[in-house]
Amino acid sequence: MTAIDSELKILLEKPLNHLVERAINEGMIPIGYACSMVPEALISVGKLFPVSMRAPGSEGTEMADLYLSSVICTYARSLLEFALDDRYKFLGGYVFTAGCDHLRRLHDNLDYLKKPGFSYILDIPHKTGGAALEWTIEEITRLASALEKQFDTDMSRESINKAIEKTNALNRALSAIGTLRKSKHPPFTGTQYHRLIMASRVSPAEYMMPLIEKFRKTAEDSEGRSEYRARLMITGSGLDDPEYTNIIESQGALVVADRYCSGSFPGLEPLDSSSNPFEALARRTLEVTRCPRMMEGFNSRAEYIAQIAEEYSADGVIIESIKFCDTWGLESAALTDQLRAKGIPVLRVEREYRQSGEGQLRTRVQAFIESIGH
Amino acid sequence: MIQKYYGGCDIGSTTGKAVIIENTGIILGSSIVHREIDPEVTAALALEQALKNIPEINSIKDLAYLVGTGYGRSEISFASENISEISCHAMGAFFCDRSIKTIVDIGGQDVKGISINDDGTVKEFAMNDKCAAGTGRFFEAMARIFRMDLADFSDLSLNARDLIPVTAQCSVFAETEVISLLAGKNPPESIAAGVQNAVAKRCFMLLKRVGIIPKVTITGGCAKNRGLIKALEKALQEKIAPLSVDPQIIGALGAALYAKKRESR
Amino acid sequence: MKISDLKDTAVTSGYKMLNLMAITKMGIKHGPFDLIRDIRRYPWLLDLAKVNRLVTKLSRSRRGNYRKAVGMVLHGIVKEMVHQIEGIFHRQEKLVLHEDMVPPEILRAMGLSPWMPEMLGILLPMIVPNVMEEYIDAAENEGIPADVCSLPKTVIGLTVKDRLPYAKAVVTSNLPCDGGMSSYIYVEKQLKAPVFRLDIPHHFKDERAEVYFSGELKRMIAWLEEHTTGRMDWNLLQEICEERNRMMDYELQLWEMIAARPAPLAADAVYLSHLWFYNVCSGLKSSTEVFRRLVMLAEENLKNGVAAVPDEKYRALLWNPPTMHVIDLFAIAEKRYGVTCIMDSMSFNRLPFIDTSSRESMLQGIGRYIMNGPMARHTRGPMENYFDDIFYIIKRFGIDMLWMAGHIGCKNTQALNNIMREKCRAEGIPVLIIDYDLADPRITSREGIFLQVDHFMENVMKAERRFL
Repeated sequence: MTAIDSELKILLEKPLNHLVERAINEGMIPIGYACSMVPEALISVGKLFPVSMRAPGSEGTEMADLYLSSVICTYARSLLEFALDDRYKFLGGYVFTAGCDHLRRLHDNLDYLKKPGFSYILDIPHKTGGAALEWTIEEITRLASALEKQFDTDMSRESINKAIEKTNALNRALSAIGTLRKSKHPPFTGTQYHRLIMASRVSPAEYMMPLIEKFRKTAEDSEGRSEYRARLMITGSGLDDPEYTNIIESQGALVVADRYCSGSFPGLEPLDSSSNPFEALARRTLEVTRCPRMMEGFNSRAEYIAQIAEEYSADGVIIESIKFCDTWGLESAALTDQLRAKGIPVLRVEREYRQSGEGQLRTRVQAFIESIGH
Repeated sequence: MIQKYYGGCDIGSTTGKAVIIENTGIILGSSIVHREIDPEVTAALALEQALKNIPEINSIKDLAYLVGTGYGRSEISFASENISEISCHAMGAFFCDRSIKTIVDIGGQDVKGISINDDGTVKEFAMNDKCAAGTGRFFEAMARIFRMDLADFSDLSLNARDLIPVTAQCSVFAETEVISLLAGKNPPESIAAGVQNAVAKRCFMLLKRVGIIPKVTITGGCAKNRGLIKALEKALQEKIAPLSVDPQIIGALGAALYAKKRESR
Repeated sequence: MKISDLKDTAVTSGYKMLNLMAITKMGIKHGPFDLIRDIRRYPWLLDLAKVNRLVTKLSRSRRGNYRKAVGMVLHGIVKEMVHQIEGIFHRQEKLVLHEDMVPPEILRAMGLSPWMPEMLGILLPMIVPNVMEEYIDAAENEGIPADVCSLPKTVIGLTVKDRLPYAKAVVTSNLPCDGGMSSYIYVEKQLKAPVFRLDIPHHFKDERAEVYFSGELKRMIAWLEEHTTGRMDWNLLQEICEERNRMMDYELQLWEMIAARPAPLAADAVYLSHLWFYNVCSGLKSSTEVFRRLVMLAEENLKNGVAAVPDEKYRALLWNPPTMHVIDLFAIAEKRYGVTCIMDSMSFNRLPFIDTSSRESMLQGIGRYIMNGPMARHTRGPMENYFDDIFYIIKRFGIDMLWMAGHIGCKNTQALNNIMREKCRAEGIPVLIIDYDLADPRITSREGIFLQVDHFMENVMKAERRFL
């Protein structure tokens, strides 16, 4: 496991990793996206490929603090800081969503400070239903035309369906590995799986597939892990730093499931690639993502988390929210009550995008595991 | 022409400063004293010391006009008027060098960014959040952690080969961070460089809020911190213009200049 | 004492008397037993009853027609508030809670009794500045992060302390911010009432958005018909919209007049009237009447060459909602520096009248004013909306400086402050950003707010402070 894990680790060290570089050299165009509601398959058409925007190793957000202020979430601030430092210069363009206040203002400030060659903000409704679906289909269709015009990519239904199949294949492979976490003795840690998922979100699918396969094979050959004190699930705001999972596991926990942006649930479900691709993508965005920025469905979101926790035999759930995130901040308070009412132990933590307060997190996780009775 | 004398008295959170000038603006006397509990007592002490070597003046009463400024300005009952330290620092720095356009003033308890007009008046200003990070008091605390006096701590970073990043968003957290870095046997000079760098970045941000136009200068007690100046020059990518007058008494000088202006109205 | 001073005193006393009468009448009508029970259930009723403190605070430094206008606007607010409270007392079966960006006109046209939970967090601090602390703390004790906007936190606090009326239904929306939107999870949980949520697109200037949103309004009406006893009366909606148009006609006349230098009316007389009568009770004859009389008072001042603020020196544009717990900010700044608040972001808009020719056109018109409403277009939409408005207002009303009520909990506007500084610097407009919290005076106290004002006025504007 160590060899493949190290390979994955390298891919996460900086935004422009060697697989992205290779793809660019071969004429492919990376498109950055900063919200899991962006239909990844659409930016995988033809020579395009999606890169989930991260700011690994961020050392501070001084310029971003000045513009976005210190009350905007540190994820948005870190992205702006990196953009201003030209760390995303290699991207062909950005696709954002009007997902939350923080992302919208990131888009505004980026436009003002360093207008990108291509930057699109998807306007996604805050609810589901017929009219919202229709709206989203139209939005995605418009995005497709904009991409076609900008990058001269064929956005016919056939090519989008092909891209959906490619994304499905990647997600199926990841999800098959993820299912192994259900076992009493999973063959890999949560941190290793987190690295695998994250690497797949920041590298072109074509080059990632062999690595995923390698991970699967190594997992099959590995012995299951039995030396853990508790099985935990992590849920909350977008978490793209496997080191966070690592700190949690350093206290003797095994992270067996997760539900956050760029994680494994939800989002790995295959999409229908046989009919209208715009509808399939719109349905995924509206119905699958389950972000608390959707106004309705709090109960079903809470239910979903409880269900995953049960399926993966998690002993407890850690709810992490990035400081200043309103939607997760408000959701997690209610979610904590709801899960506890179901008898699920919950640890709620606030965190910054950039790793900080490591010692405090360790103590809290350790105490949490002790309180579960392990 | 009758010779008149004007006084400026800047009562800050850690020190009191006084400046006495004559008609032409020449500084006849100045002082820096430690703060007493009562701002008025501090002011009286500072003025007394500033007047000590001016034979023509026997007491405060001989001053034609006295302007109080700084944190304790409204408590000085014998001042003719009080004017905020923002305007006074701008005027004082402008008097020393007419090409100064931007000032960062680091006092005992706050940091200010000030941009100035062509006549030495304030164009815009910005103040730090409600936090001591980056202020004189912050540096005092840092020096204590390093077991050094303030002057030695100020120079410590100058010898650093490397820089260990420290976040100075909050003074309490910065202290904890530095304590654990020192405990981790990291080179003290590199940690000090990290501290200076973090404060410099905060100053830079404050200045960005008011717009940075050269020349830029630094006033206040921390203007004597050489490590900070070096870090600030790096952050600004701009030389910090040195002033001909002790940067710590610029506020009091500005107040004295305002005293002269107000009296002649 | 001059005769004019006596007249002024009489005017304020008169309005205070009228306020007291309206409140007393309501109490008597309710009966002592029920009244005591409801005061225990809604302790904020006692704070609202102290409204004459607000009258004093806003009147004492104003003279003549300006003082009259302030008294009249506040009395109008009291009358409608009494009516709304009677809705809680006597019309509970028709009571619908609606968030501040849901159009109450439709609820009224359906024969329902609207109640806006955010109203308390806006109104109460004006009367008793620290009154919402208890509710903010209650929300934070529930686990709501401290950085969430304090206004939705007051709603959550009122909810968890069981101090909101039980309603048959709740209608909310995704406006004006994520915090406001998500706060209704708690209202829903606590009240156990059915909730409908209106969705407003980001690119709301797009024609497609108008169609989508009027569809949302239709779905809301159908939902309300299903979940309440309310039935849509389109004729009544038409009357309400027409009355709203008449009010707007007066308001446009008022704006025309206050563009003059010096302005015949200013500050709270202008912004409190818009804030209340447009957002809470537009389409009522009594609301239109307030604006008709404001126009008369302004006209008279203009004719006689009387300025609202004698020696008007600086014309300010107020951005963001007013500083609620220091609602006399301008009453003091007027005296201290001759600062006159001419226009504000909550009042100003460039919307056409509602076309009442068909059901469709009415819904589109209402939809348009909600989507383009204050905060909606400033906090939800792209930043162009924000800056287009600022510079248009500055030009149209001859503004000298911008005062930004920099509510720390408003992440949307905080994230545009530096662009605002830079754009205003380029245009030569001085900007004062007041760091404070909308509903919580513990963040920045009254003194702290005035300290920022003094620093700005004295250093940047070089204003001479008038010691009074």
